[in-house]
Amino acid sequence: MKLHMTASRSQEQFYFWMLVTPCLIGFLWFTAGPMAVSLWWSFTTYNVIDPPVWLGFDNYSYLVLHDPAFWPSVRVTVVYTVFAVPGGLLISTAVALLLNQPVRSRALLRTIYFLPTILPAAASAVIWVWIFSPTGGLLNNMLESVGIRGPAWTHSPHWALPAMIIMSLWGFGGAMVIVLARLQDVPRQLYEAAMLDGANAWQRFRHVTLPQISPVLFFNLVMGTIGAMKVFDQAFMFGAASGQVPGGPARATLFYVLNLYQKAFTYFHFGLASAMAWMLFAAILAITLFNFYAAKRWVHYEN
Amino acid sequence: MYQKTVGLRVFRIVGVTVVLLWTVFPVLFLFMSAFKSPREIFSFPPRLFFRPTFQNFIDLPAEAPTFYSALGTSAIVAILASVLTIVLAVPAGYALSRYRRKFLQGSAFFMLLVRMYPPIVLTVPLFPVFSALGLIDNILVLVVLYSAMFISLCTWLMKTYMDEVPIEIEESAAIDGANTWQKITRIVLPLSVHGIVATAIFVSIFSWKEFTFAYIFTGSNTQTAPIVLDMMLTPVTTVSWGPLFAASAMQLLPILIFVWLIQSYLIGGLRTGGVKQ
Repeated sequence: MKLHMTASRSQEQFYFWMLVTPCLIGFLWFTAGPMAVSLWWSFTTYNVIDPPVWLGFDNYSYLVLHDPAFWPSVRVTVVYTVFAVPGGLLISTAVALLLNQPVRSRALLRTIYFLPTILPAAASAVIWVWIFSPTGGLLNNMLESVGIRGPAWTHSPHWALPAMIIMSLWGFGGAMVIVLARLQDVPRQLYEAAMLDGANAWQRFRHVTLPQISPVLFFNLVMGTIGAMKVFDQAFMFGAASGQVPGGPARATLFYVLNLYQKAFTYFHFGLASAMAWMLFAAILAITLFNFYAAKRWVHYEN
Repeated sequence: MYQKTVGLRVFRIVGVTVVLLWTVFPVLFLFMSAFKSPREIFSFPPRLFFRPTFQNFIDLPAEAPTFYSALGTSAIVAILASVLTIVLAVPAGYALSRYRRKFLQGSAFFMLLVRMYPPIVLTVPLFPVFSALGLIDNILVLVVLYSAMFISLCTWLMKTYMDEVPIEIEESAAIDGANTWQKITRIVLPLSVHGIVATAIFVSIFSWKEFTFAYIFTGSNTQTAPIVLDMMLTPVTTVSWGPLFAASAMQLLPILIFVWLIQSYLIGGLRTGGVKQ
């Protein structure tokens, strides 16, 4: 291949950097730069109007030891993650297995199932706040018709978070599409060989399908966990739609990132907000690395 | 090979239908409610057949005077953001595809890293800078931010599309005297145009529906549609569900059309940076 290259090595380098630079500038200016700035601010007190004042680790210790909203917001995010991520993984995998069966119009169904994933948070919130309306909402009407008195959902401190978890399970489509694509790549011979060995349906699933799709299950686990820890839009609109401040009722939907948002844009504690941002980033990084570490035990890669 | 027992077929049909109801019904209700009278919206059981009315669309400007102009702003932002992203990502994708394959080793993890921090984390350091520069309430800020948000993913997508253009075609063009610019515009671009269009649509969809940046960086002049929807959902008094459903339906429709157009590419985009390269 090198023989055919007409451009010399230095020319090639020049083209490379000329083509990549605009992209790199954009990335550095709007991603790496701001992140570095926020790392600095996380050690200062800064209210936008006055210049930042160095505090050392005070923001971090205040958040962990004294801030009344910090641990509640961690709890909400953890509870949500613990239910929404495995739930989403289970549903997306089950539906992918279903669509991998010989069903009619698979491509059409796949697109339809995928739709909720890509719908705007605003429109989804409109639909689900309506479904979860405590009085006259679709869900409580349905429960009532089978004799169950439904909770106040969005207005209840106990049920607002479960309502959001249910809403999150609606968007299983993105993960499902990825599993389905992998399922369809599983070589037929593997199943045929397993059947010759007398494996029943469960054994074929356990020893052929599952190892084969484990890399994408792992991918979905990592992305799902990251996504759950970053929840903001839905929480913001959902909490506010219950006629209260975002995060309501009674901090039941005060997600970590929502708390971060309020620190910055409601109270103008940009130092505290930056400290929260970096703690979140560290937590996401730690969990992702742990997932990669744990993956060695259960994820099966070819060769 | 498959055991075609009746039980299994029934199970499949029931399963597919249940999932269909779970995914489609909420969206269907949204569109139907847009054409229902306010009283019918809450009637139970919900009516699938009813007399459609355009009243909600007529009432919408009174409820949310800025919605239609916000829809326009959203469209402008979506178009500009996708154009800017493509203009930056095409050359970078070409460079990565053709010149430095080593540059990409470890990039899968880097892609993951980029997706790891929440967008809100970026708004905290950017807000004071933009407000000092007087750029709050300027749609160009949104355009630039959306492009920055998608540039790494789109560059990667461009690279994968251009990898599929055989380098031999370019080499024979080079022998005929084509320079780099001509090789890109005459050969690589026409051959990867489907991927480029799909990527542009992908960016448009996400810019059209983005909430966080829009909420923080826009003011009264540059509200995008999601912001107005949020305001309508959280009013001081009661929610006017009719106009709200009408507005939501209008925000959703272009997305449905776009998703339909690029469905096969979307799946590729979703897997990007995944375990399987």
